[in-house]
Amino acid sequence: MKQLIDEIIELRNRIHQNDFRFILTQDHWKVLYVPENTEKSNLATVRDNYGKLKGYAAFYSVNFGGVKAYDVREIIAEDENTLNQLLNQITNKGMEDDVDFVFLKRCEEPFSHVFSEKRFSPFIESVIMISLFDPLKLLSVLSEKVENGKVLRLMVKGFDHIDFKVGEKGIMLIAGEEPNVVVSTDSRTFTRLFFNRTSFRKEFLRGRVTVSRIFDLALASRFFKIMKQRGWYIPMGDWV
Amino acid sequence: MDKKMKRTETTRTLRKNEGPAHFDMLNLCYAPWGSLEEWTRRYVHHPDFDITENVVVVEESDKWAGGGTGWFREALLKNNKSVRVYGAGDLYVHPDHRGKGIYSTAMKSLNQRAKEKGAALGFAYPSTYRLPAMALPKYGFIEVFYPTTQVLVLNPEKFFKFLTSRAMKAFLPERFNGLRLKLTVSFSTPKGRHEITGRFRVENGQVEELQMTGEKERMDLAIKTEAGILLRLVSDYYLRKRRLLILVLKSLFRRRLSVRFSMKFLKSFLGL
Repeated sequence: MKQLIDEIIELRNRIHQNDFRFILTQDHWKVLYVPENTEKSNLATVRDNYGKLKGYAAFYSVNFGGVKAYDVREIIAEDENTLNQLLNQITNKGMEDDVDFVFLKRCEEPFSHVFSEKRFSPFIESVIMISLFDPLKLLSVLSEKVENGKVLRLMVKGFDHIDFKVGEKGIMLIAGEEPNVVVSTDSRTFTRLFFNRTSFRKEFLRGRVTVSRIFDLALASRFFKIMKQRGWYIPMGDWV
Repeated sequence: MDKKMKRTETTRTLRKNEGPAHFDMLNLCYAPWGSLEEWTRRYVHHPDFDITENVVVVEESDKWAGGGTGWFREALLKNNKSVRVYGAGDLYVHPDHRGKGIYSTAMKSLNQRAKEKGAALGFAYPSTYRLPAMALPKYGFIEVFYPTTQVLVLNPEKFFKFLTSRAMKAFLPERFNGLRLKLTVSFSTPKGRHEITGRFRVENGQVEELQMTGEKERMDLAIKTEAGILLRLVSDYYLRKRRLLILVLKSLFRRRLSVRFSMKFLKSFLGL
């Protein structure tokens, strides 16, 4: 089992290497993805001809007052064919077990058409909400050495200002230098920009981001481009 | 450890021997919350979790009035470096203490603790149709991601029962009392298409199943649609009201939804 969990973690990190995600350890996986007891839990796996893991799904049966369902905590596949095979495995097992319905949640991942082909119905039932506590801590993680660049002061309403040297491809936290440009926004807009849910251009035009020197708009735009996350991956098993 | 929040309200963390009492409290307030196995999974076996650190209790005049829990994780950014985040959950208020701001005190206390423990972000995962989704913005939470739920129905009758039992828990305004509703839903399953009809009545602000007498019953609202459309109608009602109208019009135009209603329903709907 230990080896399989390592393979699952490696698969997740490979497929979602560019996405914002939680660190998954062996201990986390055992608690979050094989809940209660192993009798109720099921794993579906797909491997290539050389035995390498191409996809997996962790699911278990839940009972809603006499109505039995499969709760798929995670389904992850390298390609469309693998996803197809995993869904077949879950559906066949569900029919064997007299399950009444199967449900899962997807994080804007590819191959959604596979679900409609398999007669799944999509809808939005839950939302992931985020609160910004410390922009400095968040952005310091993205800080790297920048030799040449202008100084940008970021002011997020409700927090202390943060100064960065903005280079061509990176940003570096600095202190004690006079800023070339001051960029102000609120925590809601900042969070949405950070997670790539909106664009700098749109928010600037709406007046939710202000830039002190209009000539430095390109610099501000580059700052947010460097900062923003590409994608996100928070499967249901990680929701606690 | 105790902090004075208001004149009679204090917050503290759960004591080591209070695990069973906390489990009972969750089940009382959520009616029900879940099994002891589930509680053990989330509160005992979860890595880096300590009930004496992560579980907040709100007391009012020394009585256990509510609380909440924070789970800490490390999250990876696009450069594969990590940042500390926390997830808020299991917030509850004892039935005797509802409406006194206990939820608010618990939420503020959790956020404060998360900041003290170095979390850069807080996460919450509410259902769109439940209260926390509406309450959390007061505590700095904003909607960021919308995961898509995918459902495959294998047993249409049971699924229909599941859906309607949830609808029966909802409260409707008094003006809907006495209305009779008919809902026909078609399901596309791996074994083929199925159509199921249910008849309901609104009494005392709640939807009840209507026992048929054999005679042809007059219905005030009759809806006929596909399961997928019905699920999307419900989700858009709570989340994207602007899209709801487009979805209704599109579904009517494509004949994937049909609605018939009486004058009585129209008057109740418009509050006339």
